[in-house]
Amino acid sequence: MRGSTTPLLLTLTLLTSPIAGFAAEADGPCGGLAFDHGRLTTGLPLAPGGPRTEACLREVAEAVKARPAIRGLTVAAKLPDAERLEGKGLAVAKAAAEVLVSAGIPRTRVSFVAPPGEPQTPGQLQLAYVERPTQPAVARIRTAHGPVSVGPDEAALKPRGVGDALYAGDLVVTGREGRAELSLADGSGVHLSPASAVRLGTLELTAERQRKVLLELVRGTVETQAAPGGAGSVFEVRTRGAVAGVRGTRFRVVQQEDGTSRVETLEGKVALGVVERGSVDVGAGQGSRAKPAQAPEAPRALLAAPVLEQPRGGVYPKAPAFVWKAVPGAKAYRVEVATSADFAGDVTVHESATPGLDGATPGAGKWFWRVLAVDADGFVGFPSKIFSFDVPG
Amino acid sequence: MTPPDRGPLPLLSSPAVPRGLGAGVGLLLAVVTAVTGGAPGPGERALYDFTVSRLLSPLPQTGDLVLVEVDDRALAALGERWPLSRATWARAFHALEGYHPSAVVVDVLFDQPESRDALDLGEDVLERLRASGLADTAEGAKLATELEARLHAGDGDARLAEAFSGLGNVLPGSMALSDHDGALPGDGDSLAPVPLPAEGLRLKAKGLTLNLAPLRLTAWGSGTLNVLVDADGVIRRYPYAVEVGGRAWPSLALATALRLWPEQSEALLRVAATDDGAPLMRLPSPDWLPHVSLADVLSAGPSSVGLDLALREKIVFVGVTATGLHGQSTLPGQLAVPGVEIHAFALDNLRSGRVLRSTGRAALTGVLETAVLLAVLLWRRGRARTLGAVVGQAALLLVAHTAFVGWLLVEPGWVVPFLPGAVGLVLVTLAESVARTEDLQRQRDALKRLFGRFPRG
Repeated sequence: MRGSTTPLLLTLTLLTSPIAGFAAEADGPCGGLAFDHGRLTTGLPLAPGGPRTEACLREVAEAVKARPAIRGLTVAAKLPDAERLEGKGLAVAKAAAEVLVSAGIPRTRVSFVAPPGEPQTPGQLQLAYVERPTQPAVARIRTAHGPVSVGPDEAALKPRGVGDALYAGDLVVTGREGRAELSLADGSGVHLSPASAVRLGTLELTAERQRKVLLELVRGTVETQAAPGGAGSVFEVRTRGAVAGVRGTRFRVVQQEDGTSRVETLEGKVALGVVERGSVDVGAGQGSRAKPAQAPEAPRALLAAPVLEQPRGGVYPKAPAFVWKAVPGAKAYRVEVATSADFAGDVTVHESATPGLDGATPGAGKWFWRVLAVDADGFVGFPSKIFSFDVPG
Repeated sequence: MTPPDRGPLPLLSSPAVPRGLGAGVGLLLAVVTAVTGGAPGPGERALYDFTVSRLLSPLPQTGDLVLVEVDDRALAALGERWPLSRATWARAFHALEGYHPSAVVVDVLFDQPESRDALDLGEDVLERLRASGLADTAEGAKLATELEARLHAGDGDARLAEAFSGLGNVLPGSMALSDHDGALPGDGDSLAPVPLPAEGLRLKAKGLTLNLAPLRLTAWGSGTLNVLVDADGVIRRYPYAVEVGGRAWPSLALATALRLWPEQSEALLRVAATDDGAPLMRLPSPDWLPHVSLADVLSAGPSSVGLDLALREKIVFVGVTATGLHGQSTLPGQLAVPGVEIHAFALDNLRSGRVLRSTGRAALTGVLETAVLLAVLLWRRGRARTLGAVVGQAALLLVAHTAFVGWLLVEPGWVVPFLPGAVGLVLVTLAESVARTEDLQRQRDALKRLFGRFPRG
């Protein structure tokens, strides 16, 4: 039910240590390793034998051992027919499997085969793995702009794009120019600002529409649109020092570098709490913050939406100057210029201390812009209306 | 004498209007059929099904396709419930290897790994056995070796991959997903896109469900198992390719044909592209495909002469036909056809090029033929002196229409709509009969009035 909420029982949750991962060395004997939908590919082709192959297989073994989800590994020797027949292919594959076993992978988990090779292709070893039954995806990337990476931890991030599935435990990271919008399995939306990182925790759904969503904001800012849930539902965003729990609302959570957690509620109500320090309800149009090991501050009103003056539509021969009315209490303004009206794609953000900005349009095209006022403590207010304008090429 | 009053809208009350409307309805039906995917159009599916299943001669039997079926007898002999364990599948493929089939086409998707709980438990026991030092004794070492061998044998996924590799020509199915995204295979995968224009394909999907990676690594190829089911639950078209992610992915039948006859790939792709990649199927007779029970394959030794004759150098389709387990696919005139047989039909259609076409030139022909048919009737009815002559001409045109539609179906394999022309002929004839009856009535009334004014005597 949008707009109404029950404050949640809050606990301070310490960050879990990162999952032990494996960072493949691009200059290692394999030339890098990639685990992709059951195929384990090496950066350099894996010859049927030789010292480099053996070293690479040992590197593979270490990588597989670091991934408990992998339950079986298959080595395929794909050789030209002349080299494959009379059991020679199988012998090559078996020798490679023995290297993996000697490197510590249980023999019961390694199998070897010698399927026919592709014509006019030199012989090589190929690897495939079987994971334990897959866990259901908890989210998908709905929109992505700029660098967006996902992995078990910061050391093993991989670039991801629109439509990719995300699983519990995944760390989603946006670069300095990156933005991403995630669709959670319960229908909620999470928008990651540039230079942010969020770890997807639990997402449980029951037939009674009761859901439990736990997100962990490692750094940066997320804006969430929590879908309505049934009675007893939980939607929590945890930072290093606080927990924001909501039902059916829209809010931003910011994890500052000094450990301060900040919440800005745009719709509904959010309970911001620090364990043993109490919690406050942050209603619509309010913001609050919790400094490290301190109780959350009393809610304060968010700054109103700026009123945009120009441009408000039309065609401009060159990039127009942006002008809006000053908002009382604003220390600065955040000007966002985007190529789409939902500000989900290519978005450029500018800061301005005055209610005006010149030369902020990157070039020709149709542009959308909006402004948000920022107060002296960094609380970001309501976004303005969105206006568009065209700059011919 | 003043002409009879035809009301305020004389044009609408003209007998030409209902005739034109009748012809217009027929033509409109033909156009709608053409632009909505071709024949069989709305209302004529039952007629089409009857024609292709009863009147059109079935495909001749071929000697090189055979179905190895998981039937009720196989399940009873194995003592297993469906789905069969991977270890059993591995045994089956190892057994087939002895007969050297030219391809093994599998109407099964192995996308999820088997439960490994028992193997994990066994591995724990083995590890503890070794850690405890018991494995250093003679008896302990023997036990550890035996346990390791049994664990190895029990890993069905790995054994199945080995069986695929041993055969070297297995093509398992994949599945196109219409409801959610799935991973697309990378370069060099056994499921590879085909050079067909993807944007125009009739079947579109969002993602693909693939077999386990070790199976993909050892498979000869793979294709989608999807079929196109019409709104009435009947399968008339077979999608030789499906569009996913802007590329065309082959069906199981197309992937098999391209692997078996690479030198004919251009011709095969041309046939597969018919009717936006999903032509109407030519149907075989119900007992067209020889069946061999998996129970016989597993129980017979490699020296079985009967199985050798049945399977050697044959294209072997493998699928389930046991009661209640196979998909209840309905073809025109054939109920509950196992899905695996549909892929076999499709492969035979593809290699013989005998698919039916209902779009493009066939659809245009249907529209033009309907227009000509109705134009001829409209022209000829003006020269007919009696209503009986008009009906006779309409009947003649209907016979000609039926013969033409039937000839197109049999000879070039074009399916053009029958109903629009027939409906148009009937409506125009009805309109003509109504107009002539009214005209006759008017003449009769005029005569009555004439004789009433000048009575005899």
